[in-house]
Amino acid sequence: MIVINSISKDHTTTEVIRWLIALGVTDFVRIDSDVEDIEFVGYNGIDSFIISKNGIPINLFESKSYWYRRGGAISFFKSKLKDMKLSQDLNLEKKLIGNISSENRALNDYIKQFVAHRSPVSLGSYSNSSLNKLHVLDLARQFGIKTPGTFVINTKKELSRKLMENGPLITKAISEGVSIYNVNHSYYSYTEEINESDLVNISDVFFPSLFQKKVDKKFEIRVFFLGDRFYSMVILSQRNKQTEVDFRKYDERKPNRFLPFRLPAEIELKLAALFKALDLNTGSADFVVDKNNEYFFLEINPVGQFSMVSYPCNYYLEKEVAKFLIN
Amino acid sequence: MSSYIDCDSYFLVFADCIPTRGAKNSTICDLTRTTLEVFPSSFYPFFEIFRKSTVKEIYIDLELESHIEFTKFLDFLLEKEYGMFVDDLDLFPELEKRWESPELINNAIVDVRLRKHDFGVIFDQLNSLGCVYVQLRCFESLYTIQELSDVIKLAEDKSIQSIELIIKYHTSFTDQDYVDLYNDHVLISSLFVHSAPENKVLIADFGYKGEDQILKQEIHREIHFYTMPITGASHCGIIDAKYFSIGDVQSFMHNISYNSCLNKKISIDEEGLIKNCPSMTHDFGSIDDNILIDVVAIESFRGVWGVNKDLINVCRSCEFRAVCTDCRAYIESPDDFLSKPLKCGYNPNDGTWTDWAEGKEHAIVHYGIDI
Ligand code: SF4
Ligand code: SF4
Repeated sequence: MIVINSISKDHTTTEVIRWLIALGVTDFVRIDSDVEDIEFVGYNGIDSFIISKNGIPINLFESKSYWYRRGGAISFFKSKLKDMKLSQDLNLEKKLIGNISSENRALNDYIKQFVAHRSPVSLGSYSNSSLNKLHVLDLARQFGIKTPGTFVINTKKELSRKLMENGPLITKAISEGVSIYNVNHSYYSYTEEINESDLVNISDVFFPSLFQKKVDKKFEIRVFFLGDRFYSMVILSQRNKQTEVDFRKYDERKPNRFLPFRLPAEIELKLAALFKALDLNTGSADFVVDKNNEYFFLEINPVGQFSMVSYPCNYYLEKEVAKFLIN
Repeated sequence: MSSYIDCDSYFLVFADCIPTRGAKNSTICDLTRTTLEVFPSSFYPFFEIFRKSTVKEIYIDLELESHIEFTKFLDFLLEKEYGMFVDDLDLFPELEKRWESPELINNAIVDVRLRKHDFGVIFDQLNSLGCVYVQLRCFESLYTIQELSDVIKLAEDKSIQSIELIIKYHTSFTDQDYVDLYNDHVLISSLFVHSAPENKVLIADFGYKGEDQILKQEIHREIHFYTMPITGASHCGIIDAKYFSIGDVQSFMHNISYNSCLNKKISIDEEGLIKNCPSMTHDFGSIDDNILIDVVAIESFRGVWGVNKDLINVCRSCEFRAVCTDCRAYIESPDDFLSKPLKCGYNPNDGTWTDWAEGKEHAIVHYGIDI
């Protein structure tokens, strides 16, 4: 049996499952953390760890292959708790719910850990699904991978000094960045360039923020790592100003080119060591290449959208992932 | 005029800009910017030389009188941003010429005239083949809107991702009925109404009232009414530059590897006969007595899937073959299965388009096409 953790709208998961079926796999279960069709049934510690999907029991001991694609904790209690009154004391009730939530989370964590350890093949990692960008940059440097000068700053004075020393900087979220929708608008946080001219709009003291020296880039590289192979893509965007800092800002008229790329072997070796040190067997890594052909590592995303590499480069990564899970 | 004669770099043609050699003219298809440019085939060999020699070496190997022409060609490629100068070509591999898909059947055409098919059975069987797209063509108003709605419901929760619906106009239905039909079914990807009293477009927005422009655009659907009647399958198979498919790597790779129309297609014609496409004369039995998956297993059914443009006369030397559609049901010489699509008016040998019907009386009569 193949067990897949995902969320219901994840198209990539759907594609991989289509390939699994095409390759003859019938025994798989997709667990979407945002769908309430999974129930906990029982764990005896020996040979039976049962959850159910739409009422059909699944023994996790039978998992041969596990893919943590994405998604958080499944709620095992939401539906039951809705009409239950735990206490008349609102404050106490809130605390009790908090308590149950953390029990639920711990149980969820264990289920994922259990399946990951139990399955001979395991791809992706829930426990490593959110990396600390600053820590990863440190590690990268230890493996001899160049990174842009990186600072965390919280005062305008210091920012102004760094701008003087380094020229333009970029800033981005230390964690995941913003992606918020409401009925009328979608908000995203991008990587933004910061210049001396921006200083007037910045307060004297601000929340500690991540800044990096802006690399005079020739192009960007996105690398998808799977098992022991790298699938790389170059993003040519420097011809239009609008996308110069962050290629996700898309220009319809002159769209960026996303082309197959062959990462130099030396970079691949170092990057493989970095993935290993992070205990990841899959993920996406971003680089910028400057005018002197130096490769600067930016970050690793453990649950990267590999379809955005797969389609333009004609790599069929969805099929490769399916094959990985079958082996 | 400036020249690139001292350039020690290579000229990289971007992997998403793919040249195709034709008899007189060649094309370069930019899959990212979705454009297609034509140039004389005499320049085509440079695309092979670019991968071996630096620009300087190319100039040195050229006759002096060709320098200006070559410089102009480089100017053209640079101006269109089809490439750039690089020092290391090995970093930029070409796109692999490969196309695969997990489903056994990708799309199906079902025709309706006077016979009510058992759509429950049809959609179940298409589902077991993994079919993604369905085109439903109704030549007559056999079904009411309510009945159509019931038919579409039968396709829900299956492998089918979208249904293109072509129906005949009927006076008993109001504009709102058509809009409701669309709004009620996310499965309907497009709706065409033929034999209508006037050409017009209705908008269906699934009731979205928000202001998010991106979402609005995504949701916005048009219902097209045409006065032109679609009386039967013989309307299909027109080859025209406006149907060229430029702009997506997978469909380009599909086009050059397989028959762009018939690969992974299955059809049920108005009589319920299973065919590669409804216009084909050969059938593989009735849907009443056969199971689609058994038909797909027949080698001769799948044979036509691999007939790509490289195998088709005339098309094989046409510069549009990588982006062109194909038709195997209506061909120039009905007894030569590899002859060019009948309804194509292009001649790659002199690079001109003319009316396709000119001089094709024999085939037109053979197929009983009314123009
Ligand atoms: S083969 Fe020709 S007639 Fe048949 S579906 Fe394709 S284009 Fe239409
Ligand atoms: S000759 Fe063939 S490839 Fe060229 S336009 Fe006509 S049908 Fe298409």
